[in-house]
Amino acid sequence: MDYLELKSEMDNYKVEMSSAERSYKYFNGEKVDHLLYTLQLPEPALANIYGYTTYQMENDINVFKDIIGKRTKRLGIEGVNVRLSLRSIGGAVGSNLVFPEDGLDYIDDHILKDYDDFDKLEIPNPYDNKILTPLLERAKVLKQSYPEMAITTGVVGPFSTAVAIRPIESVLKDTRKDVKNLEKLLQFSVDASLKWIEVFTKEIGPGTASISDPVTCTDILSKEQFNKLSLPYLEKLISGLIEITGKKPSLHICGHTKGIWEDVGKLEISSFSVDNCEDIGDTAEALGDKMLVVGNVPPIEVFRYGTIDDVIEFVKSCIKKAGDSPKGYMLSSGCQVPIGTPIENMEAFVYAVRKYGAGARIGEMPEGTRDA
Amino acid sequence: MSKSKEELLKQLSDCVFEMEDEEIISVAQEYLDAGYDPLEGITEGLVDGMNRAGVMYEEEEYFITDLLICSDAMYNGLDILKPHLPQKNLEGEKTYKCVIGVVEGDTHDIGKNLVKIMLETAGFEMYDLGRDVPLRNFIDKVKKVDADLVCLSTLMTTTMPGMKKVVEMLKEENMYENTKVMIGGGPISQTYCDKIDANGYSPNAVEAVKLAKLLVGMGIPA
Repeated sequence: MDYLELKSEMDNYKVEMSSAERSYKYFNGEKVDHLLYTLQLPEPALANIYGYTTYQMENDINVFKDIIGKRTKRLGIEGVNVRLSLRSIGGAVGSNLVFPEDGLDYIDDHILKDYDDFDKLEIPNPYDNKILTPLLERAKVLKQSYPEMAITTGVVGPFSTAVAIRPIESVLKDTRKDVKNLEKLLQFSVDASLKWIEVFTKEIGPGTASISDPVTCTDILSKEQFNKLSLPYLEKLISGLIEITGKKPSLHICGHTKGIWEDVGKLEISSFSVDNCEDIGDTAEALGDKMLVVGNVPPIEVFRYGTIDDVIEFVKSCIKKAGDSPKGYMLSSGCQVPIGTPIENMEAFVYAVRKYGAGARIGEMPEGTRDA
Repeated sequence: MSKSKEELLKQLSDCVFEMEDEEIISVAQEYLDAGYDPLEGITEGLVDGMNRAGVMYEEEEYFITDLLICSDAMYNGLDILKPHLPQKNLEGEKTYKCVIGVVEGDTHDIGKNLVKIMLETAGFEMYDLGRDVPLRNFIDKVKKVDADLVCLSTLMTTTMPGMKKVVEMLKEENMYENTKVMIGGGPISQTYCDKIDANGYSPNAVEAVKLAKLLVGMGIPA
């Protein structure tokens, strides 16, 4: 279908409840208008769509607010996550972080090349840090501007934080050659992330924190490395988050994770968001009786380069595979929505959830799948 | 009694394969001191070890970390043996040249480094431009060294269009016919490869070697 047809079709699927109300009812076993959905960090893509650069969005709160407002209105996605990027803690402790005019931040020089310099690293103070303080200030302004909206935050898994402080090749070699120092670095990563959460919770309020951990996939770490070095620190991070916020965090891991699902299933997390390289049906089967399963429309093949029909088809197949997951299912992109994704495809995603996820009740296949 | 050549070649190969990046230095020295051929030490010893590691990687017995340490061992061995190689290549033997780099805007280079190591092991002459490479530099380097192959890598979706740009620039400069373009990285797929007219995509470093050889016709009789 073309965009005009999509717009006119969309009118057939009216939204009956706010996202907070839908979520509350869904998890309480009531029937809701349609399945829950979200998109992973679509804001940079939306910035371009609405005529801004990502740099403007990051540096001008009014631009950010404009994007959030338009996102909520057009896509029905509520809430704001003022999270640490994969590289924020690295930047906060002295790795050189580059913010391009248009694109995602990246590190061009790591601070910890030699463990002899480890003692010079300090846990960054969110009240007085060139990277963290502006984020905290942003969250404060947003809280004032949107008193009704949930302002949450997120952190990065210990292994993924470690590679923003020390080059990844060194970190990987450390797993064989310098475990003792690597363990110190991983503990530091946990402590730095928890410090941020502690201050954020104090200033903004407790919320469900999200964890992203792209390095913890089996494409990069062996199962043995994961169990020995990643998992223990991920567990420490999670228990710290629960202690501070009182809520189980959510977890997203990019890349292949099937080999570690058994361990993921034992974590104290509220949801697991799976990359599109894994099958959502398999994920729901493995983890669905333990937590909310989230995913996994391919960001590049489908969102960025696919057609409206590709998006609709993929959403439909996800719902058929995971729509009755026992602890709930939430549609999302398999990873961050890429810059350059057309708004039409984001709208097609929302349309398909409303249509094929219609009449949803936790643990049951939505009534909308009968149309599928 | 000094060790036989075969014995030492096996030891060189094992040092690479078993990630003995320190022990290999003395083994390589012992091999040289015994007066054995350095070129054979590289091809039958070091490269053999790296190839065995590649097979294990394909079989998911070895992981990225293992390949990294194996390659450290290989390079440590190379540092000893290489200075003793005859200066000139054998005449008539074609050298395949490959320019490699991470496209502008991206600094994730572990995948690129692995591909470089594996291609180097396979006998390609590698020109590594590093990471965050301005697109024009790929063209200039290909032109300068008359490369057969250019390998582009990126982990980020934002920098993928840079690959397309490189293909376009090669076409504009009439270099597209003679230089093959290979792409790879987390977000890359065969579909994207077809879309931008690159010559090939490979999902990992071991596959990349097979593809590279195929693209340039390496090992195929003329």
